Amino acid sequence: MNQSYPPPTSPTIPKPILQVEGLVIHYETPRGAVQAVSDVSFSVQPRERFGLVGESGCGKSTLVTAFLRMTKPPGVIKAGRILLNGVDILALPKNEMRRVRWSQVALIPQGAMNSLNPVMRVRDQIADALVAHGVILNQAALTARIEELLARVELPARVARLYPHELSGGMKQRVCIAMATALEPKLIIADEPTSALDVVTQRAVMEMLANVQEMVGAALILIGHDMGLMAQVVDRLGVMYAGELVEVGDVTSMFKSPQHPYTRALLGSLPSPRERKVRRAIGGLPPALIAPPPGCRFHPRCPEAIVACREVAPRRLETTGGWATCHLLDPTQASQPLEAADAAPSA
Amino acid sequence: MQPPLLEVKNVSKVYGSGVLGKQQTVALDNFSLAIAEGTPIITTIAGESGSGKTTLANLVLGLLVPTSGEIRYRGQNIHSLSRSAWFTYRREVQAIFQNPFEVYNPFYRVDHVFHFALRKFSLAPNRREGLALIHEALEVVGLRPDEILGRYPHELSGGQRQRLMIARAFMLKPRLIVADEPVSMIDASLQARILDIFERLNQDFGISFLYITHDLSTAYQISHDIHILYLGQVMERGDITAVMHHPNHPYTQLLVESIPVADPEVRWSGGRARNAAARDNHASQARNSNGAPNNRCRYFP
Repeated sequence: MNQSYPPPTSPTIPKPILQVEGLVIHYETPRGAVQAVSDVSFSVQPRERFGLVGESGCGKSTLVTAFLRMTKPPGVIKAGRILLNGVDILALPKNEMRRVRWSQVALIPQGAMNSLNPVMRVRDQIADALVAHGVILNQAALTARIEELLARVELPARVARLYPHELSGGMKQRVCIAMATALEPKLIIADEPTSALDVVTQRAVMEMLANVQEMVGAALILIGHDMGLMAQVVDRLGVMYAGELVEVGDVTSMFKSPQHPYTRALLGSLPSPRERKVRRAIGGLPPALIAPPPGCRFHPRCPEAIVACREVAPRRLETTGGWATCHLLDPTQASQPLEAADAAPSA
Repeated sequence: MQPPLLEVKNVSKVYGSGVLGKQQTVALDNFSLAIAEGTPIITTIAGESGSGKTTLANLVLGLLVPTSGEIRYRGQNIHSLSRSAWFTYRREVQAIFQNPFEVYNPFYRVDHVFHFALRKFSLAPNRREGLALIHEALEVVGLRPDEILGRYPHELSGGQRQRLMIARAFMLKPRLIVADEPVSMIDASLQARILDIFERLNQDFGISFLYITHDLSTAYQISHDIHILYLGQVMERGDITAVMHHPNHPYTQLLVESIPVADPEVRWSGGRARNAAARDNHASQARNSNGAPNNRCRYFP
């Protein structure tokens, strides 16, 4: 493609590629609103790899669907702004948004390999997607472009002539990566791209995705629940719990000294391939988001909860590598443990 | 000498496809395994997709018939058991599958899976005793009966559903549980609890496990020995600690190195990294081509 990109405006002050401010997303149900995403704010820099972890149902997928403005009823974006390269995509007209998708921001959905059309050859699917986004090439150039895209994910050219069922899971996933990066987007969102793959294939796919991301010069948002994978891939990490972002920081300090008790619990529950140890599963279940608990949403499961956790929603507090929302980090909170408070009710 | 609880003896399974089954895929090639009677152990079968691990599970469960070789349960070939012995086999060898979302009929309350099993195997003389069995099984897996019974599958989380399946298997007092990727669809934070239950069933209730997985770190946490499969062939077998710490086979080394370690300072070691994609291509080609057994190692090149 012959587009040329303007050079970055100013290398000294990086402008975030994605900026999310106070985003609130609800699912309207007859029984009330499910608060899937509550007041989430964060930003991703160009070329950065940002990880988003959390248990199933914590709102990760709802959150990223909004980045493409593909939130569908009963999901409703209640408040907040999503700035993609400085442009508020929530305010864009529909047809303009269609252009932004794929060319600016691409999504590799969960189970992407099942999103390939089973009755079309790989070549035709890639061509379809290119044509739909206004890339006009003659047959020879199109073939060359498709081969180039496949080569980028280290697939041999013969794959273009195959049907999806003739490919392994890892190969299908790599075809999806080739398609998602075909228009050189500025931001790639990968929603659990390897959750159905075995470790070797997972590694092949992740390394491939990271390579292509670097080649294209895009930023990457990786969603998952595997802290191990995050440690291997991302630069910065955000931890989500019950619709809220509870800790954000650079990956090294987050693994070395996690500040939020939920982050600590997530790390503690990991089975290690190095040593057999006592595993600590997180007690209890995530709350139903139709009526989240008051105060800190994690307090019913938190082993370190203090009285304030039950009553006051914690504010953001700066940590070494970023920020966390926990009363334990707040010097202004008197730290009376919950058990002690329950044992001696206000006398 | 007492015959082993389960003995898989030189079993091969070949799938035919295409015209007259001419295109043959060797899913499992001359595989042997024994689980002794009396010492309950957790045996891991590890390998990537297409390595034949699920074929092995289905063979052991009697859902598939081996092309050659035999599977013996307490010394008897499972495909020549009498009606009543087969019935016992079906009770004593239980299965837990990968996807806890697909194993339930969404129209029935979750109680159905218990009542059906109770009726089928006539485990309790009356409803009250049946209920007592269900409660006991739920408690073993750490679920509160009043929170679970009477619910529909969609009202429960994946981890709860998987634990229900374990409870159902436990209720039948099995000797062997074949667990085919039981935690791969469960959140990492809840996997630990499932593994704890397996360990408890093994140690306290003497149930042996055939733990089938691609995830060596969960295998390492609970199992005693391991068989590593690649395209239907055993690459390495042995004590789990020895295999994890000193893998001898290059394929095992790749598997161990590919585990994402939860430490940003220990990155995937670079040596074999570039090959991962190429190997993926090779493996899928090997699977698609005419898979007639040959003598060389299937991991070659």
